[in-house]
Amino acid sequence: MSSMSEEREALRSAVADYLDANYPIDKVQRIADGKEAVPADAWLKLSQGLGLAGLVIPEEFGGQGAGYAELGAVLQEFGRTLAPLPMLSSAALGTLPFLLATDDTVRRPYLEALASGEATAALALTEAAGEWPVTAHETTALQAGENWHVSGSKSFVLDNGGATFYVVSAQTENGVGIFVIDGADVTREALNAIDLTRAQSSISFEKAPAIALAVDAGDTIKQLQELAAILISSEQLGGATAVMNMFVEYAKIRVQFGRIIGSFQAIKHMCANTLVEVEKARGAAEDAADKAAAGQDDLALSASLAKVSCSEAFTNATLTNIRVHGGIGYTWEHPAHLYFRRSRSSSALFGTPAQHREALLVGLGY
Amino acid sequence: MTTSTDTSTDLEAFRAEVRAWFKANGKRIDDHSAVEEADGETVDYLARARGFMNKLYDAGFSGLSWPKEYGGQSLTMNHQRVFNEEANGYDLQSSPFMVTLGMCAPTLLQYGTEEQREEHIPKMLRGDEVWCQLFSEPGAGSDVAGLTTKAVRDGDEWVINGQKVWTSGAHFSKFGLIVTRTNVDVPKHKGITMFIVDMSSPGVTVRPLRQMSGGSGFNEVFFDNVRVPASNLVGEVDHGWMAAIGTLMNERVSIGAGGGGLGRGSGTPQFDNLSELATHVGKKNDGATRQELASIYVEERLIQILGDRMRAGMKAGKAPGPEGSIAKLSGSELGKRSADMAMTLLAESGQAWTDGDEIAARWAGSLLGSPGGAIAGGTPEIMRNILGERSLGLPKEPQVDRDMPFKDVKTN
Ligand SMILES: Cc1cc2nc3c(=O)[nH]c(=O)nc-3n(C[C@H](O)[C@H](O)[C@H](O)COP(=O)(O)OP(=O)(O)OC[C@H]3O[C@@H](n4cnc5c(N)ncnc54)[C@H](O)[C@@H]3O)c2cc1C
Repeated sequence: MSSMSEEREALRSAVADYLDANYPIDKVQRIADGKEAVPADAWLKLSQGLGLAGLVIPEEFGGQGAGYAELGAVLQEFGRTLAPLPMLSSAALGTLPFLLATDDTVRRPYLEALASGEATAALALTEAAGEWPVTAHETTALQAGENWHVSGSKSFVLDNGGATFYVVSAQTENGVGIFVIDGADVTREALNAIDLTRAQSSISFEKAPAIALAVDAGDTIKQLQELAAILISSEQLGGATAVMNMFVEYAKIRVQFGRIIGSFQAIKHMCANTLVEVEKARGAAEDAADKAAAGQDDLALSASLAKVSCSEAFTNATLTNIRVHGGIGYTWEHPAHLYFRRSRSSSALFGTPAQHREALLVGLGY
Repeated sequence: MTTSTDTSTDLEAFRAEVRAWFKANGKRIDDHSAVEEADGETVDYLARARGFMNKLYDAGFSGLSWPKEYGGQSLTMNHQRVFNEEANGYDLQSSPFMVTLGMCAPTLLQYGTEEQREEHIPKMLRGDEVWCQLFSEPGAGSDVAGLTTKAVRDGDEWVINGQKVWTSGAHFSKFGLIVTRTNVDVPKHKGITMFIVDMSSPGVTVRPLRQMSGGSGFNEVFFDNVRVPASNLVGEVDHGWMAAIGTLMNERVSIGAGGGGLGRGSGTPQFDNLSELATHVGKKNDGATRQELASIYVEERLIQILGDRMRAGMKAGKAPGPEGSIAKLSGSELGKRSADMAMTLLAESGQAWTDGDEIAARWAGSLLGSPGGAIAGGTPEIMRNILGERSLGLPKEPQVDRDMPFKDVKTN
C-alpha cells in the first residue's frame, strides 16, 4: 500500500539487505549488552559502500543528492533493525542544519566531511528542561570580532558515543542563532537511557569557539524541529513494522491448546489492531516525508501528525509484541524489550505526542 | 500520478472553479438552520439531495476521476483531492447516494457488461438513479455467503424468491444489486449469482424498518416470484461471490474514508464540529479537551490520507484490498469517539434539550447513529478477522461449512 517509487524501493532494499547481513538483531543485542562493539570504521565503510552518510547531501559536496522521501525510506530500515549507526543522529538530524544553511563557503567543509563518513554531527537543540518546541535558550553566543563563542549546555543529544561536531542553538543579541562547535570543545556526559541501542548525552561548553551557520534563525530552528519530528517518525514506523512482523510470525507458529495461537480471535484481533495503527501511521509518515521532499515550507501540521501517529503505533506495537510472545517476550534475551525501549525513547524525543497534539491545535488556530 | 491534465496551474484553475461553484451553490455545514435530516432517509430529503447532485454533475464535478465514457471527468486523484479540500465545510448531501456511488457503481464498472455500464453509470453519477445493495438476509449477515434467497432460470429470465433485510435506501431506490443462491449442490461460496433488479418489478415488497436512532433508513425487502431478464446478470452464474466481495471491499473504503463515494468526502468534518462545540461550551482552554480534540483531528487526517492512498492505488489499477477494512474500522471508531466527546462536552444538556436546540439534537443523532455505523458494512470483529487472515496471513477461523455442499449446511 506504499506509494514508493521504484527507485526508492531499490534503495530501501539495498539498505535492508546490508543491515540484515551486518546487523542481525542478535548482534544488535550483543552490542546493547556491551558484549560486542561496533567497529570503529563501520560508519565509514557503510558510507563508502552505500553512500548513506551523504544520502541527502547535494552531489557538489560529495553526497548522493537524494531527498527526504528517500531518507525516510532508509530511516525506516534503520528503525526496523535498530542498527547502532549514526544514520538518524548524523546523516539525518546532524546534517539538516547544513542543508538549510545558505552560505556555501561556510557549510562546504562540513558537508564534505559528513558525506565522506569521516565526520559525524549531532543536532543539539533541547536543553535540560526538555521543553518542546524549544523557545527559551539558556545557551548563549557572543561575538568578538569575526569570532563567535558559545556557552551553555544541551541535553538528550543523540550522538552515538560522541560526534565530531555539534550543532547547537544559542541566544545572541539578535535572536537565536545556529552554531557549530567542535566535539573536542565540549564536555560530554553519557546519560542513562532506557534505549540501550542509541547513546544519549548531555553536553556542556564554556566559551567554545563556534562557527555561525545562521544568526536570527528562528524560522530555521522551527524548520529543524519540524524535520526532526518527521525524520524520527520514519524511523519509528520502521520499528513498528518490525515488531508487527515479529509477533505476526510468532502467532503463526506457536501452538497452544492444539491450535496455532494466531487462530485465536483474541490474538488475531490484537494483530489486526496493530496493522490498523501501523498503516495509518505509514500514511502520515510518508505523506510528511513527501511534503518535505516537495519543499513545502510549513511542515508543522504534517510533522505533528506523523510524530503523534508513529509514536503511538510504535509504542502500542511493542507492547503487543511482548504480550503475543508471552513469557518469552519478557526475557532479557528476547529482542522485544529493545524495541519497547526504543519506542518509549523515540516517543519522548522531539516532542511527546501530547506536546504535538497541543501544537496541532495551536497550528490550526484553535 | 502526474498526467498532462495535472499541472499545478491546471489544478489551481480547477480549485478556483470549484471554490466559485461552492460559493454560489453550496450550503455551509455550520449554518445550523440549513442542515436537514442528514441520514437521508426521507423521500423529501432525497429530492433535494438529488437536485444538488444534478447541479454538481452538470457543473462537471461528479465522478471526477471516473472514465469520461461513463459520464465521469477522467481527471486525476489530485483533482479529487482539491475538490475535497474546497468542499470541506459544505453540506454535500451525499448520504442517499453513498451505496449507489461507493458500492454499486464500482461493482458495475468492474464486473458489469458494457451495456450495463453505459446504461447506468452516467445516471448514477448524475444522481438520477439511486441504487441499493441487497446482500444481508435475516439468516446471513456477517456470513453473507450463507444467503438463501433463490434465483431459478426460466427461459430468458430468472425468477427470484426470498427475503433481504437491513437494506439501506431500498424505499427510494430505482435498482438494486442482489446476490442470490443459484446452486445448492456446491459449497456456499460457489453457488452465488449477482443480478441487477428493478425495484419496481412486480413481486418486490419494501417494508421500512425503524432504526434505533428513530429513523427509517433501512428496510426489509421481500421477493415473490420476481422476474429479472437474463441480461441483468452481473458477472457469471454461480460465480457472483467475487463480485460481492468486490462490492464489500469498495463499501469499506467508502464508509470508512469517503462517505460520498467515488472519493468525495463525507462533508461532516468531526474536528471542525467538535472544536466549534468546545468553544460553544466554554471548554476551549481545557487541557483534557484539547488533547482529545487533537486526537480526533489526527484520526480524521489519518483516515483521509489512508483513503487518498487507497483511492490512488485503485485508480492505478489496484483493486481495493483488505485494507479497506482499516478504513471501515477506523471510520466507525472515529464516529463513536466523536459522539462520545460531544456528549462529554455537552454533559447534561446533551441528554435532554428544548425544541430548537439544533446543536444538542445533532449530536444526539450522531450518538444514536454510531452503533449502526460500526455494524453496517461488517462488524469490527469481522473487519479484524479479515485483516488478520487476509492481510497478515494468520490461520483462518475454524470453518465447519466451508467445503460442504450448501444443502447440507446448518442455517438459521
Ligand atoms: C445501519 C445499517 C445499514 C445497513 N445497510 C445494509 C445494506 O444496505 N445492505 C445490506 O445488504 N446490509 C446492510 N446492513 C446489514 C449489515 O451488513 C449486517 O447487519 C452486518 O453485516 C452484521 O450482520 P448481522 O446483523 O446478521 O449480525 P451477525 O452476523 O449475526 O453478528 C452478531 C454478532 O456476532 C459477531 N460475529 C459474527 N460472526 C463472527 C465471527 N466469525 N467472528 C467473531 N464474531 C462474529 C458479530 O461481530 C456481532 O457482534 C446494514 C446494517 C446496519 C446496522
